[in-house]
Amino acid sequence: MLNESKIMDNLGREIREHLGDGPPDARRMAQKRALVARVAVWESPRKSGWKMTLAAAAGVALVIAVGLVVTLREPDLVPFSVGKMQTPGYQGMWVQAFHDDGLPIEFEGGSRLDIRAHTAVRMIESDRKNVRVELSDGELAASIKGNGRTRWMIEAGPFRATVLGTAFTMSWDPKGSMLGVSVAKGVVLVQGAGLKEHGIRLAAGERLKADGRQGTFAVDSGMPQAREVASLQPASPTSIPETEATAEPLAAPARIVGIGSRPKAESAPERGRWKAFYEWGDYEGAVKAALEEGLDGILGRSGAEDLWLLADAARYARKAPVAEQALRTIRDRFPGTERSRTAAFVLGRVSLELKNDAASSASWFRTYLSEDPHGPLAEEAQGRLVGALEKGGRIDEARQAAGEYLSRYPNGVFSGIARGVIKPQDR
Amino acid sequence: MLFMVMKHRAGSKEAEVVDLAAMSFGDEELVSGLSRRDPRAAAVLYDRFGAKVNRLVWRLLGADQEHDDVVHQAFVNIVSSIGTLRNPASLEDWITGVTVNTVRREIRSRTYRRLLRLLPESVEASSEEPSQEHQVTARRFFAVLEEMKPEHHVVLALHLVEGNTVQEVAAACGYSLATAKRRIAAAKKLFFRRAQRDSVLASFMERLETC
Repeated sequence: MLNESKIMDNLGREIREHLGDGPPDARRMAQKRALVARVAVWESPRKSGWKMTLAAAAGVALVIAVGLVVTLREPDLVPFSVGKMQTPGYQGMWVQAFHDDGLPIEFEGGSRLDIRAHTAVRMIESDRKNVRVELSDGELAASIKGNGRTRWMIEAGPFRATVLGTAFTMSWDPKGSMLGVSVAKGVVLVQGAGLKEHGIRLAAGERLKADGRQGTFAVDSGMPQAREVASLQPASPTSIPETEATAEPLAAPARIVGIGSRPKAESAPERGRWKAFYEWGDYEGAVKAALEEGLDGILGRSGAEDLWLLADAARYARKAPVAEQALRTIRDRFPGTERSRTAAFVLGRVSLELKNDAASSASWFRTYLSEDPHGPLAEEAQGRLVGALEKGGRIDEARQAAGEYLSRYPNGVFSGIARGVIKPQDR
Repeated sequence: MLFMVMKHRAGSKEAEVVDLAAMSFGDEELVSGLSRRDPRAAAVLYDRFGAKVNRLVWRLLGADQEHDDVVHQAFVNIVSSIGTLRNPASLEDWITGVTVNTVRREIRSRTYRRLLRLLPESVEASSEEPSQEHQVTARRFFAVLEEMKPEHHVVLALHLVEGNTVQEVAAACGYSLATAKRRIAAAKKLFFRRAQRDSVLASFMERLETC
């Protein structure tokens, strides 16, 4: 016969053996996700004791006010998970895929990065304004669903790809300092070593290969796509959402759109040197060279194509006066042409985006619509006209333009904006 | 440097991500990270102590439907009170203590809720299959524990189910050795008496007595 205590010990052992150590792994992963998510939104350590009580008693209203300010000032984090088990991610996390299947990184909102086998990335930043990822080595495929607010940046060595919404693959070999970017959808701006400050804008179908060590690059356009002209700054309420970013109206044929190395000021020929900078992707350098060469001379003797390139360079370098002069010259010297009509549209964008001049912008969009009411940019011009009028405070005109837009393009890319102008409460 | 790596679990197609940081973070680094509310530290904390906290809660409350909530609360309590930890080297013992306290509070809260009829009464075991005998016994075991004082419940579960020594129970509960001994003895006696009134437990214990 055993005594009570021994029976109890045996009972405990029996219970332990059949109870096990806890719930299955899937539940544990959920626990971990919940914990990391909880700590991620935990703003600061709590104070304890009488100080906390005193502070709470003294400043409930103040706390509310401060809370509002903090909410406005501090960007919210974008939650993301890593792997098929959806392990919670966090800023600063290094992720490396050793397995051949690669590793998905899924963000709230539907965006995702699929990192290939033997690829390492670091999640530098992940908030509603900016998501920054460092591609340390290897290759990833990005599928970014834009929301008009979050800017996505993938950094690789001295290079950086910036997007608002797109699908592309990017590879980086740190040993050879070789970057590869291939765009499937949307637009990607690649900046960095040799590509200069304003970088290279890649549209769907374009592929970039850049050598960070040699300072050379090549862009291969596999399909007749145009260079993107949309600003990659986060959209303002009146600017177009990223999904509405449209290609440059003048489609370029399939071609190598850029190859070579940075031009040297002393080695480039004096006349047309700005074009060498342009081709190399150094738009600021191109404008500077054009000004040194003499803008009046270039405007007077260049053909429509070169003037268009100069306007492009100035726009990418955000030099509004030079862009305006080049575009106005096209309209003056080549009236009635496709280039001239399109220049009116682009002048509308330059006024709005570079000069913040809504009135001038609306006027130019109207000019385009009057000259080419059924042209390839008519929908975009009508949509942007709505935004320009609203931004300029001309609400009645904006509503009228929005009505016209919706009657012609009820499911158009600006339909959301147009409806928002007509019924602001629906926004 | 923190690295997340992929590995495949034996016999499972599902991939798992393991944070190698759990192996490289020292206790001090972890405590410092938790004090800053660094999510990386939270992930490391879970990687390192998730199994222990789960096991403790599981063995103190059984296969409870609120298990995950209690584990989460334990970790929240760990992070929120990390500033009270004086010696980072004793992190593991301290985590055990916080977890035990969390469970004790949960048991107390359940007692109040039951008194206020916010929780249903325990369901009597009646028609379980013989093959599920151990499950039924475990259920009855924890049902009897829940009727006891939280202090008795915790010390008994730690001692009998978790297999802690009296010294370990004392450390986990913050008792002196003498208090731990006294409470374990009292809890055993009380449990034995109550278990005799439960037909399932009484029968199981009778067989343990004769084997």
